[in-house]
Amino acid sequence: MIGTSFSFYTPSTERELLITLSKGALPVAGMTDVMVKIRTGKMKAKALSSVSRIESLKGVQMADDAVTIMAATTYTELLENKGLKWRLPILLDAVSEIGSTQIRNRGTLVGNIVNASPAGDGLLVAYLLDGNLEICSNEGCRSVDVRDFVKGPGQVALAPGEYIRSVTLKIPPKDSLYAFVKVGQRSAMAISVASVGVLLRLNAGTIEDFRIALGSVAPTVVRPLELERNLVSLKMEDGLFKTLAGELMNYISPIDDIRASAWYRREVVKRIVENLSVYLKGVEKQ
Amino acid sequence: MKLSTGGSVQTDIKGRISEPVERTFDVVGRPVKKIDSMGMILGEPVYTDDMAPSNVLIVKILRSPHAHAVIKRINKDKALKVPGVKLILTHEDVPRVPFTRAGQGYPEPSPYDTFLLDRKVRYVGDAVAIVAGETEEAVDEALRQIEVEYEVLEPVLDFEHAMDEGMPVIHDEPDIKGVYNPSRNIAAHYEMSVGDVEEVLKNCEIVVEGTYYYPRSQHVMMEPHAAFSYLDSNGRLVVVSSTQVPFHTRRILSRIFSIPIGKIRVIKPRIGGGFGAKQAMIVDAYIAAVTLKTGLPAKIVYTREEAFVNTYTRHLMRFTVRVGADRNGKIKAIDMKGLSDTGAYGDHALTTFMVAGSKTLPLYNKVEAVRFSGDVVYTNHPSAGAFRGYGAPQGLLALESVVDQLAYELGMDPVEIRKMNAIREGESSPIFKIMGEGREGVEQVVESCKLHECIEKGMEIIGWKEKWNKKRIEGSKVLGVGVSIAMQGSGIAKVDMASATIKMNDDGSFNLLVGATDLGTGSDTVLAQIAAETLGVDVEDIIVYSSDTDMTPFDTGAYASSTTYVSGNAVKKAAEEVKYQILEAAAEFFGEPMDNLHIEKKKVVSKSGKSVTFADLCTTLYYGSDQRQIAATASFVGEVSPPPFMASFAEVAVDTETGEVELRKFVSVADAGKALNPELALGQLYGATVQGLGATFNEELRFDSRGRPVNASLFTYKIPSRGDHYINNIECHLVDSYEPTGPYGAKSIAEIGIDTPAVTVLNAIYNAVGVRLNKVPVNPEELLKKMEEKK
Ligand SMILES: Cc1cc2nc3c(=O)[nH]c(=O)nc-3n(C[C@H](O)[C@H](O)[C@H](O)COP(=O)(O)OP(=O)(O)OC[C@H]3O[C@@H](n4cnc5c(N)ncnc54)[C@H](O)[C@@H]3O)c2cc1C
Repeated sequence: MIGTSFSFYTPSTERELLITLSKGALPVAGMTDVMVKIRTGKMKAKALSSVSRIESLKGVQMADDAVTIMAATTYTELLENKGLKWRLPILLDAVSEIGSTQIRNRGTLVGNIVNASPAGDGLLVAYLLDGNLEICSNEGCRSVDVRDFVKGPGQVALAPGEYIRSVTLKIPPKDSLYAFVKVGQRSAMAISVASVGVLLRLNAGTIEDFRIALGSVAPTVVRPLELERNLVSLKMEDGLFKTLAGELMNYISPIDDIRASAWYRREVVKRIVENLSVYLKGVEKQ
Repeated sequence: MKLSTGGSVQTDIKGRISEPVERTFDVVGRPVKKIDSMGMILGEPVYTDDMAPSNVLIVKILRSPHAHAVIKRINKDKALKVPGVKLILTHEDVPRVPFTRAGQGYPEPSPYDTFLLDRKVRYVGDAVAIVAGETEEAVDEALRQIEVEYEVLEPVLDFEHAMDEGMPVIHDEPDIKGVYNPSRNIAAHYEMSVGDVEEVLKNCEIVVEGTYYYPRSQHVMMEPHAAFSYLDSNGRLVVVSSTQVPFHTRRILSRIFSIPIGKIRVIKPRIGGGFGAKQAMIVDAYIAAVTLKTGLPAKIVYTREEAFVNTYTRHLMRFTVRVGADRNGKIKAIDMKGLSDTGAYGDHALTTFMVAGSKTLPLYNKVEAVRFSGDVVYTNHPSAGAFRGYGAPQGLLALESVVDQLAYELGMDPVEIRKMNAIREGESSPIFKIMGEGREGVEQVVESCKLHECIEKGMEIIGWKEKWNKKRIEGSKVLGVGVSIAMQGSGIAKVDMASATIKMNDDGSFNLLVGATDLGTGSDTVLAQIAAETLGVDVEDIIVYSSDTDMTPFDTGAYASSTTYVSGNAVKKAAEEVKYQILEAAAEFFGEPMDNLHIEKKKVVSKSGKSVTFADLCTTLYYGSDQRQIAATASFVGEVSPPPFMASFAEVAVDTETGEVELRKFVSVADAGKALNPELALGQLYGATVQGLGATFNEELRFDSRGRPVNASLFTYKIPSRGDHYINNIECHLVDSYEPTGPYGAKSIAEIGIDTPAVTVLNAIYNAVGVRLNKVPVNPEELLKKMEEKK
């Protein structure tokens, strides 16, 4: 049925992984994107090499200011990790809405990032949390910001022979408020029409830290850094989000497709941002 | 103990079996487990594809890439050279006999506009060639190697312009039959009226009007269409098929291949769902052609994409409804004008269109005048056909929206206006007589109608009084409630015929042979319950076999909500006759009059104190004295088609920022007569409700500007799943009711649940935000736009 045949490797160490990559295999994890693409003919591969059984690529490591998620860690494993609940609640909010239980049992955050879809929910959170990738090859490892790694829809700066070891996400400042809002035509198993992620830290009514990332409204996830910086030190006043919503419109370039029109995408992003106060949540205490 | 003795079968003039006065039952009315469920759960080979012989030829179909084209030339030389390929058939190689795939009463009310293979293709996916080979790979390769030269024609894709002057003609072949007006792409036309609608409308104090669309959705039964065929040792053609209509399939095959019906046997194993998509001969003729040509077994199993495109869809329909009333809300006239898109072929075209009126208009039976009219047109889309609800969801969406409009225009409670105008027990409607399916209907008085009880119960569950007309706002969301009422039928009166054979075994068990076609509904179980109840035995004592045209007596098939009512009555009659024979034999055995005897726990017991078990009695009849087989066959045709009734309620929360609609609660309360198996009956109601909600929120088969399907896969066409937000917010109930003409009081329940979800949700959205959407699936973007415009 799949219409193409390929070799499939399941290395159990990173060493073996590198050997398969040097033979031209493509690194894969849960294959929830890869199999769909192969089946619909959007992707051709001679050989795939799965990171799923490599012990050193599993798990989550916590530091004081950051969390490192290894490449083979599934979404379900993230959701079951108690330590993430208060460190990165926005990540869990986003992950819990990805696909279905079956998809979350296989899919990975790194896979979502490499897939580089502007609708990627994990990718959006990685943008928001200043994600940094550890990319390795026979030559050694390098580190790249997620924002520099993604070049366009489905395009990333990954050279043949390279694989991603992990992604490190920064823990937002203590007491940050957060929101993750996804608009779609259906609550399950559907790609979102638009998505908004926000982190906000206030100090006595003054904005100390503000970050916003928007999905499905441009060729890649949008993170308007300049706009964010302009908000810092401002008083949190009525009308601020409205102004922000207006200005955001200059940063997005949505398109019409079968799921929604550009008009609708703009409109929902604008309204969600205007009413951010309704969506913002506090971090549950440990 | 009920069912005392009752030596003879009591029937009234109409041939109906009269009921025992006492209505307490042993077997019916209980949630008996589905008798075939264990095998399915354990993964036993029960479905068509599981049973195909291993040496079977694989059959696939070459399909047209064009929506409308004429085949100029087909070259199969290269394809025939592919190793393993056995046979390739094109329109040049098969008999040219017009037929309809629709499995309906004979002669069918659908036009004969289809050929096994034709020179012309009429939708993207239409059949071009039949390829048979030893392996799937060989067949796939051959499909790629066949060279076809097409003359591409302009397609007709917009059903609202299909009848326009100068449009390309989809069916221009001279040998078709029964098409209303082929040159204008009109497959069927219908109009009827009672009273002078225009005149009554003119004199109404208020007239409201609205136009509504119901989409082309697909059944998405889990098991796709599948069949295999072979010649038996006597050279007869045997087809094992996942079908709702084995007898119609046999008749249609006989027509296409000009072979006598007696030389064909159609067997239906377990079916993994049909919902109407299998109320047709879809795949059987392809494999039959191969088996007849080669003498070899052949098999076809549709892919999911083929199940979407090459079987049936729901008819896309548009209805414009005008309702006239007085200031108090009394409805005086209804005018429904419709247009239906049957796609490339007219399967079920006229009948689904008529049902849009005949299974909705009697709800408002107190009108002075009523009219129903319109056309069913061809377009270059996949063929529409039978689909659960069969036109009623489409008609009801429009009618119940416009009745809702009327209520709001008058400032009335939408529930009140329905209560005031809706049909009640003991009443009738002229529609019953005028509109049948494809022909005149049958006059009937509604002997069981608990619609008003359904409304009351539903109101209570949803909290109508507390919620309707109260502005309720939660953040960016506005809440609202909506209502609608519905009816269906129970088989087609004087058309659907069912029969059953029961024979007794020497251990006191019984074989029940029915042509009725359990397609996953559990009808085998319900029919076993009816037989067990009548014979005074347990369900385990009834061995059901369905259906096999060689072994089981005739039944029109599983459709039109007919099995419990029509086939159930046939089973009851056969069981009554068997029971009579048992008592007669026991009377001889005891040397006592029959009046002395009654049946009690698998025994015949006499007032004199004597008793004999069924096993002993039958063993004696097999091997001892007066040797004979106790057995009976009985048939039943409904003199009427008692409608089940239902009221549905929805509560929605509309997000004014995104246009997203959250369904907080959906309630359907139905009068299905007595539920012979409440668990299975509720299962049907819940299932139909969920399927209706699928169409309300997501399901629509879409096409691009050249008529190519864009979402014919389960990845892109979303059916309801556990993850859908509303899945746990649904509540279904049955009210107490008893239909005197039904077997043990039963009416139907299989379809009605799908009629209301769309319109109920749209009515609730209106109540919340004052925007009336005129089509489903609900599109948040469109809703947001309309809320903007209203501001
Ligand atoms: C039904 C369904 C629903 C979905 N719903 C959502 C949704 O709601 N939101 C959402 O964002 N996504 C959704 N997805 C998309 C998908 O599940 C995610 O993108 C997933 O995170 C991909 O992870 P994976 O491990 O399966 O990646 P894979 O499919 O294995 O790989 C994806 C890409 O990443 C590359 N890759 C994977 N691992 C590595 C590595 N270690 N190093 C280098 N490259 C690597 C692969 O080469 C490939 O290009 C859905 C998918 C399906 C099938």
